[in-house]
Amino acid sequence: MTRVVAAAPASLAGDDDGGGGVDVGDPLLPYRIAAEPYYRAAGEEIALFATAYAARVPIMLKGPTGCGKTRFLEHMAWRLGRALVTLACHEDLTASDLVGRYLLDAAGTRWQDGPLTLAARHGAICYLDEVVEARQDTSVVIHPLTDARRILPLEKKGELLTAHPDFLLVVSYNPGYQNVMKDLKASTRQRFGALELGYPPAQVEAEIVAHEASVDAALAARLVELGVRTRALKGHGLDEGASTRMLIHAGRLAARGVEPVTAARVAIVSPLTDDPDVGEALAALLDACL
Amino acid sequence: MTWGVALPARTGDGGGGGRGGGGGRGAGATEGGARAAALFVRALLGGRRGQVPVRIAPAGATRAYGDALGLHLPASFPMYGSGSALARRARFAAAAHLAAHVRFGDGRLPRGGLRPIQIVLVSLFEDARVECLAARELPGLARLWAGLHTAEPTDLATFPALCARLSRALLVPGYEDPHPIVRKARALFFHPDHPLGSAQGSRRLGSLLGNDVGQMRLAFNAKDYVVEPPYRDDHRLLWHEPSVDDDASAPLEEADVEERVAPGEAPAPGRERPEAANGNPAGRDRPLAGRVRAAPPIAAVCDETARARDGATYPEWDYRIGVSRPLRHPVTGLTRQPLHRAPKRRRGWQATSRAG
Repeated sequence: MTRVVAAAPASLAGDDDGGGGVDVGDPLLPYRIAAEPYYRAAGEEIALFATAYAARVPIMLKGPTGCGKTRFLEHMAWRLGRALVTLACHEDLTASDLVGRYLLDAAGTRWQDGPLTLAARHGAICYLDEVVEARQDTSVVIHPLTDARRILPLEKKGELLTAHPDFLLVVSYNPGYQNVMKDLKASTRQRFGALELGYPPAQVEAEIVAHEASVDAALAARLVELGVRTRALKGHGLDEGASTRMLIHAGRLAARGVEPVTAARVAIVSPLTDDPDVGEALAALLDACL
Repeated sequence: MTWGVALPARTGDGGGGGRGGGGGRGAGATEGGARAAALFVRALLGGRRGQVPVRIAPAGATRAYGDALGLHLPASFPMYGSGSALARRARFAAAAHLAAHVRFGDGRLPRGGLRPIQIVLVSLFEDARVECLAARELPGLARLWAGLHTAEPTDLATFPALCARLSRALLVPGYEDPHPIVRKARALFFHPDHPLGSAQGSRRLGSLLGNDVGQMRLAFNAKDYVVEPPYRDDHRLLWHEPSVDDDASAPLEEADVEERVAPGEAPAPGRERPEAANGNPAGRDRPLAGRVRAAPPIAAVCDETARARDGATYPEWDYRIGVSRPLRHPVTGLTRQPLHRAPKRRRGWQATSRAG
């Protein structure tokens, strides 16, 4: 099942000529970002991405879960004035889910562009989130779009789609917890430039938590202190430490009146582990930090 | 059992903990909660100072300690009851206290000419210093430790009781104690000019206060002395073991220390001091330093822990699977400091390399 972040535009339902025949206005309208998404840069990632986009170099965003990869890309799409078509990859994702398929309705069959085709045809940024979760044969579909050819063969439709000049493919993955069977193939990996987005420095992360959760700086700093220390347990009872996203969740609960300790237990400690020893250690850490 | 350098992998754990934290309670998980404490230490240190092994101390050890093999936590805190909430709190408090020494410690201190009482007091100030710095980073640690300080101004006027009151006064701001030594210690410790960043300040205050306490003629038996409250370590981590230089520079006499009594208290029958027999009952006109013989290291007064240090067994590092395992071939490792004064550098895990 293909999951697209925004619902497919209704106007596309009758787009039986592949999006090129009937003027349906802006087919990417639902994917355009109206307001600036908050993003606090921790390095030179904004400038690097903008340069990569100008050169149309496909980009791979690497980083642990919840560190802000998706938010960064939303911010960049807004900054560059491009629509963002996001696809959360999973192991049941098929090539048809990416490129499109013929659908049957009362009028007969019609072609429905998939999200990748939609972005390539109309010039959006296509974001394949957690691309290693997709089957490897599926990821091969993106190869022609990520080299000098910039084409997408639609075999079932008999169309060779040349990507719109504004199109860019971006993928993300978390190198931390994939096993060898789910690693990216070298032939896929080497088509991308990579931006590594780790957790920001503590002071910057506290700024982010305070902004996103609407909590004061002191509480944000304490939550970040807790988060940073849980990350020391990566590989020692935890697959990952607390993400920035988790810290924001805790902050949001606290901002709505939940005791900070309770908020952190609900949003950080309990979700992180079911292991009694790790849980006990995290509970002690929570008491120490807050 | 060691937790820390490489936490033993659980069944199906993959070495990195169960995915999503899953996995049942492993075989070693119930061992006094040592695994949880080891994880707590790791999180507190945040990856600083490398990986510090955390071990269960041999049976009988009632205080935590640190040595070249790592940090050692008592298997239980019987004074708090087996498996009680207070015992669990003490275990985490002990782990946090040792972690504070690792994080903010200033290396091992030379004993020099310090008397046993001064060594105790320097250690006490050093405990307070590292706890103060740790609590600045993580204020909840102060609450954790403070709940285990139970000394009161009404406690008996003994040297251990006075130390317990000093410890509480230096940690708990709201604790009121009218004892002049306590008030002086507090004033000195929290004086803006007192350097919290190094152990030199602790040494200075301990030496200074040791002279005052010595004038009080409080009973002190170095062999029986144990640190209070029980979560605090036995201080062997703080001190170089006695060297030839120390012995030469500190011709101290232990007997007077053991037999010293509180003012107005009669010595035990048959244990009168030689000075008393010679018409110098209190010996107050002699310099204190000249009346104290070198006591055994405070850190080594606990025979059980000393035996543990002497007869340590090392886990075997299996490079293929990347974990430490129990020895297949019994080996006893003897750990000794060189007799000459070693250059100031860390050993074992303290040099951020793996121990054992």
